[in-house]
Amino acid sequence: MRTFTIKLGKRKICFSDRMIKEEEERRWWILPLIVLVYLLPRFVGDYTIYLLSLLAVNIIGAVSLDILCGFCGQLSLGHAAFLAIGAYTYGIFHMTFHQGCIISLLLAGLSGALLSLLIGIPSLRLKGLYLAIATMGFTFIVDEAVLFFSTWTHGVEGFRVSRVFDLDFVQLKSGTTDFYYFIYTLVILIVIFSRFLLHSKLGRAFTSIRDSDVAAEVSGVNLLFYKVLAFSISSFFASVGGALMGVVIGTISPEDFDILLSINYLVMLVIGGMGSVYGAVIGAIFITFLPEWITNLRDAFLPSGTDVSVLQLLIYGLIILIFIVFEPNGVYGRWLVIKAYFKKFPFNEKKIGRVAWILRWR
Amino acid sequence: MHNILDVENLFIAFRGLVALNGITFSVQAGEIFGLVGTNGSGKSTFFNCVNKLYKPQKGRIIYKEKIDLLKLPAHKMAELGIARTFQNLELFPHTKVIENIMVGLHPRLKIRRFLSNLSPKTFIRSWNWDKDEAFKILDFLGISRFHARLVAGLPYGIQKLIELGRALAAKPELLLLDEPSAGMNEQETRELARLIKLIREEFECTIILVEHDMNLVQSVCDTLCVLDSGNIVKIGKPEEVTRDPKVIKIFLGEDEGAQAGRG
Repeated sequence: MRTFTIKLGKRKICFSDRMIKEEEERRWWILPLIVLVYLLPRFVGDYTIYLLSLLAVNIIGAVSLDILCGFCGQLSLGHAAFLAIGAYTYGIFHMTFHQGCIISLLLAGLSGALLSLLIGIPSLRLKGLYLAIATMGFTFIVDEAVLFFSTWTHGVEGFRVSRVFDLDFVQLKSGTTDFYYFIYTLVILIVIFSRFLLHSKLGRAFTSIRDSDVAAEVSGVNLLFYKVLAFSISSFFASVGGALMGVVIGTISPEDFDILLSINYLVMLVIGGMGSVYGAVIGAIFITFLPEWITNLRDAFLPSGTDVSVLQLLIYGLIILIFIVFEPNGVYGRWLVIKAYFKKFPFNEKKIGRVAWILRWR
Repeated sequence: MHNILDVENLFIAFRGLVALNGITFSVQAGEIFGLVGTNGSGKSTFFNCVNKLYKPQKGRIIYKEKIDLLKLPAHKMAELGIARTFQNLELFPHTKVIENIMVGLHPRLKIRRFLSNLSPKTFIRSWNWDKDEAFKILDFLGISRFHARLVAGLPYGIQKLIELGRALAAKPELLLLDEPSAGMNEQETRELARLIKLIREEFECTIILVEHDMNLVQSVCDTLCVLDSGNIVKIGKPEEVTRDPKVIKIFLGEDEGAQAGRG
């Protein structure tokens, strides 16, 4: 342990490396954020609550993709397939077999995790772009399967999912504040779970596979097991997200889960910052509200009723391009750089000043 | 004294290029075993065989006189207590130093042990066990001031130490060091020699060392093995080996070897 001594007048203070570490790990700013999430629906209208519910689904999707792509480094273009699996499994169990909502949700998650083995096991040999193409193929297979089993899934005409999420003691209709509280509780639990995952043995195994699989294997990480595990955890949450997506939008059809949705989730990660949970959340917020912002801009600057779908795609592409060229680490990565600048190792003037300011009163 | 590693008739060839031509030797527990040779003589290939990154065509590697390493999958090596460093660094550049070290703890972190020790009093201690353990390693190497930094921006020497730390975190019984002195100046090499001896005392492990630097090898190793294009030239005490005319010929070339012999 290295110690640093600072002289402040007559007083000497001794610091060690570990004390800096301890200071770094205080993350109380998350608490007011959670309170804000629970207070928000009191101040916004119905449409915004619907949007926020959609955002919750997107956060679950983005965070689950982050576990796979960001933590474990397995590039996947098949995320929409797992959302589709979740949505349809939930729909079939809940609507056709009249099972309870919670049970259907869990079954949706489990079926996603189980089917992810189809992709997870070949991932030991497939790397990078090849895995991406394989997972993309998986999206098409699932889309075709949905059409093929149209007696169960109602094919292109769309599957109507009940918009009421029935916990035994209370019925939550999607779009209401009650449902908002429920879905955001889930989101917060999943985000916290992912944070713990990232800083656990599993998360470190995932990141080591991402950075250097040779070194990971030499350090005792079972590559196949952990890759499959990353796929399973990711698909479990993705399928739960897909099931909730069905509840939020009410009708699901194969077009909702095409390749563009997968790319959308990847874009969220790129914009927010791959490999960090908060980055995924930031990216989901950004991409979910971007169309709204563009519509607002149109109302402000263009005659109302102008078709902005082309403009929307243009701005979308431009933003992705800007992020990839100038800040590949995303918004969260940039924030970390800014924070590191102010927290420069080990004691910049600011920190010494803070300590001195506190010690004046002793 | 038992043997920690018995290599029997190990043979590996890459498309006809013979890298190891049936070498046989054994390493005693607790010694520092030096493996020297010119470029392409198969030193690193041997390490990769022990770690199962390569599959030898023939031969056996027996660990602790009973376990056949070649029958086990690669990730089991760390659990058995075999750790290694790489010649070209294989670190995780986008994570913090402390997390790099904690990856090395992977085989020692068991959920069963955590649950069996679970009690309110010791909860925080067992929760932070991995961090404490990683800090012990960093303190031992004297680099704990870098713990919160990303590996990518650190100097080469520190990165080498981090990789060594990751190997040490697994509490190895057999430590394979692949050219630890590459890119170091004379003073740093001397410090490294001291460090290697210290590691053997602190961690009570056997060390196999692949090196170019004859000074380092002579000052550190108990036994020396000289390889030349996949064949063993000489095994023995460093003094004996360095006096062997064949070894001198390999390292100094024909003419200089003859001159050295005359001188």
